[in-house]
Amino acid sequence: MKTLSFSAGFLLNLVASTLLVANTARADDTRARADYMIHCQGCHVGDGRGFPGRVPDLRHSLPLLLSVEGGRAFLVQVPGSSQANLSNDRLANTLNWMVKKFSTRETETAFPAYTAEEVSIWRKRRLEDVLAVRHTLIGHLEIQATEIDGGGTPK
Amino acid sequence: MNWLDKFFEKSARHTARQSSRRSVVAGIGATLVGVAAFPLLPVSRVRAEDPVSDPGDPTSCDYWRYCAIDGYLCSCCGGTHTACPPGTTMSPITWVGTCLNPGDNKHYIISYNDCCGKSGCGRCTCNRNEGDKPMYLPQAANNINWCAGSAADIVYNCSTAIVVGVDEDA
Repeated sequence: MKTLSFSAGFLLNLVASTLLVANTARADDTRARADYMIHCQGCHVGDGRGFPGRVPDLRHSLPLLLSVEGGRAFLVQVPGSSQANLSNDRLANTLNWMVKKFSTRETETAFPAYTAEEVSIWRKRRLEDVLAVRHTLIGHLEIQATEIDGGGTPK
Repeated sequence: MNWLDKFFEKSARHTARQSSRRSVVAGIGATLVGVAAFPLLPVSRVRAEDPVSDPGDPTSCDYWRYCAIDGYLCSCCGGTHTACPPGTTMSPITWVGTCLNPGDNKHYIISYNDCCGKSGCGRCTCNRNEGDKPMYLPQAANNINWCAGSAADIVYNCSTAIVVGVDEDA
């Protein structure tokens, strides 16, 4: 009987801790979704499509940037991220949620989540010319993608 | 295969004895109606974000959703607080803020989508600016003409106030 109650207690604990982890993850996602709406959606639009020629399409540029060296830092350094009225913790949480929401499954699987510490490091290194850096990072890939798409808008 | 024939003969005769032709028609009828009614079963079709309690007059500047607005109210200009007047285009690029709904004491995330493409409406000017920041913080400043990011470009007509979400722990 003792073994039974022990294993039952253990199981209960396991279930409770799993629920707790799931709940925390859900709370993080709810916070991130609200922060995306308040701080990003105004320009990037609810589904991340942006505005052709003016606001980048996140569904296109997030996976591209995460596929090149320096892209991970760039996503934190762009003015919309680095100057947002968000703590490092919340910015990291929002960016992690955006990667889940707007990039491909392959990108998401290979992506180690941002931490507040990492975000604080990149945030302090200001970009002098955002567009020039973007062009250096993924300009060649964007040209390739446009050629493959036949010049259509991505996705 | 004899047993198979027997089995089906038996079950067919059984069905024939137990049911009338009318009951088959009734059954088909009930299925048709049932299938049609199924999608109408009580599933909440209201978006979780839409406030159940929405007090106030959307044509008045005091309306709770207008807490951070700066412009003419579309509800006075031939549109509504969520739709553009005819002949204008809604800018997808907008200014977003949060407002407290006195009906349920929750903070809602409001998107102030501008309507563009016709000259300024000029009615119901509303400039409340709660949470508005100076222009050196452009992402939080509502003095920007958001029509610059619309297909209709630059020409501003009026502003809407659309609920896009709830900020649970604001």
